[in-house]
Amino acid sequence: MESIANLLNGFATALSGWNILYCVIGVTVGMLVGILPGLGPVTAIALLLPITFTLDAIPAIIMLAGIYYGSMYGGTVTSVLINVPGEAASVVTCFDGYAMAKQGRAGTALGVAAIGSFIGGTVAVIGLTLIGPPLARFALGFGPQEFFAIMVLGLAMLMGLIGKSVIRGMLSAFIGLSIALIGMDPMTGLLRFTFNEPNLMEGLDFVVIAMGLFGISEVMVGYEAAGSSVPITRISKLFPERHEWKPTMGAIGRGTILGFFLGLIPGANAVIASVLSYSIEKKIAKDPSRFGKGAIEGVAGPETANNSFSGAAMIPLFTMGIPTSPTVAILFGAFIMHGLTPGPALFQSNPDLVWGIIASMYIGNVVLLIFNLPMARLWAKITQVPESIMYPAIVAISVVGAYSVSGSLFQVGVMIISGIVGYIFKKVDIPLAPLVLTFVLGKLMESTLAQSMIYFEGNFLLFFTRPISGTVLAIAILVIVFSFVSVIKGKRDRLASDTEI
Amino acid sequence: MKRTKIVTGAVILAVAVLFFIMSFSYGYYNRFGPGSGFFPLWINGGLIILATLFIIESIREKPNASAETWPKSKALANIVATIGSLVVFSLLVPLLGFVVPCAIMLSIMLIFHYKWYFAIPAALISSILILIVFQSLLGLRLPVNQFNW
Repeated sequence: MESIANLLNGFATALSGWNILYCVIGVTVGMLVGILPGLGPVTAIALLLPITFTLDAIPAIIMLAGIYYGSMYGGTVTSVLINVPGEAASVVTCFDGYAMAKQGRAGTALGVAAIGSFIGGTVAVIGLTLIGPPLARFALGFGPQEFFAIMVLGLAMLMGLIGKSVIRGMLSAFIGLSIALIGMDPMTGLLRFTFNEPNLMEGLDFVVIAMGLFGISEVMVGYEAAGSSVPITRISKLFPERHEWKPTMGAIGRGTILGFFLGLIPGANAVIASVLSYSIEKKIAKDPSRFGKGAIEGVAGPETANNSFSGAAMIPLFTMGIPTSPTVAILFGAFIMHGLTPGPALFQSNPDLVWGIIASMYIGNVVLLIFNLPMARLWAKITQVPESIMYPAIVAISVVGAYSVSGSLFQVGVMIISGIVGYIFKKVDIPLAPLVLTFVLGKLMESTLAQSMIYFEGNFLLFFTRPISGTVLAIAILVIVFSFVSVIKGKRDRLASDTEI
Repeated sequence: MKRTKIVTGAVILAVAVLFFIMSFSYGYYNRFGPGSGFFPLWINGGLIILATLFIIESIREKPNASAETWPKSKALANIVATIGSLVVFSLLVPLLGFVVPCAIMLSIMLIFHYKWYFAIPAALISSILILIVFQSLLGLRLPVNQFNW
């Protein structure tokens, strides 16, 4: 009951003043980002983060969260209409969505995806409403030992799941940790790795690094893949036939549950949710040969799963202050930038903010349903924006954003270097997601480890004497061991190259 | 791409070794517990091992194991123009303020795709619009000159 009352207060916050407008702007930008190939949610949030400097925390985070879940809706449109996924989580939608479009059923594919996305997204937010407060209360009892262990588990999962090679995943994570240590040591005040450069005293800025790694490098990669636009398929009937409702709703139900639970696991991502959902639907289908030829479950399941995932991924952020995917890591950065620390205390210290954001996610999902069902063709036209205009615009916004972080051209230089590094890393198959996560968590990991080591009087093994930290660290070790074993046995599937980007 | 991987690994290794050596000067342990050098020492030590493994993995890789290739002709020109335009922007801003360097930056990127009489005015108008939107409407700091543009 307490959650319901808080949620109603949240609706009052989300609907008041400019907040509702920022929610609509956020989901609209999210749709655009999802639709435009080569521009993913991580890039978009990183680019737009500096613009929120002048906003209050509530509208800023409402808008940035809207970009995240809005992009999951938008990615479907291009997958179905032109066989090009707008963002990584919609790759599998191409298989059956585009096949349906070729059969003249593009409208039905988009309609089913929109309904599934709405159900998945809304159920995830209901989950956040119900599970969030008790989980946050539970997490309030955590010490630095537990937080350190959970961060290690998150990184182990991410390194284990992303990319071809565990070594490259770990390499990326350690690079992120290493550059996070540049600047002043928060425990002792000592300057480290600054080479007497005053601009490095406070360390490298997360927003600038993210804009370079994702924004600038994405432009460079995009120029390589630039091609001519594809004509848009005609959109007609939006709802499935009567006999298709039962399998559709079954796929939506399974996608919702799968996406929700994956969202709670540190290190999982929306691509894994949609790929697993597709595999499950294919496996349980009476006639799996339909898949790839326009099976409606092949659109409904994955599209539901990736939206359910993105809503549920907010739960670890809100309740434990731990980002579980690169996009959520950038949102974590947004909280910090606005002087807030995501974590269990947030529900008590800033209830207006937390419940306002949660309420805005209900509103955002309704807005997105309206955007997607009757307005699909309008959005589809945006795919025709040429790269020759889009990329210079991204570069100009990046420059403005990087400079505005501290009013220094030094930051523009850091962004250019990060862009070149991101481009080379993509070329040599070093995933960027672990780097971003460890960079944002680096100082927190160091301080929780230091506090734990002081508590344990220098004996690291005592981590295993506490039930939660011991269990979580043991799981993390198992994940890394299994990842290496899978590499040695050659059974490692590449679920996603560098996801959500 | 194999050679690029080995070179990338070598650069990461060199930086990791430098940071590892520097970590010793920060103090491994103090009377309260881990010192400022504790975490950097372990992280950069790990980074040295991982960079070495990455180099070995890259050396062992079959020549055509990666689908990635370096860009050619037009794409390469666009990428070089993007980075070049950013560098030109950074060099000109202290002298000229925001609008002119931004217009030059955008012109360099647009000139490959559009006629000059479209690219240059479009770049100039876009730069002025960016100034108005980001500085006047959104209140962000831009690197303007004494005339505030």
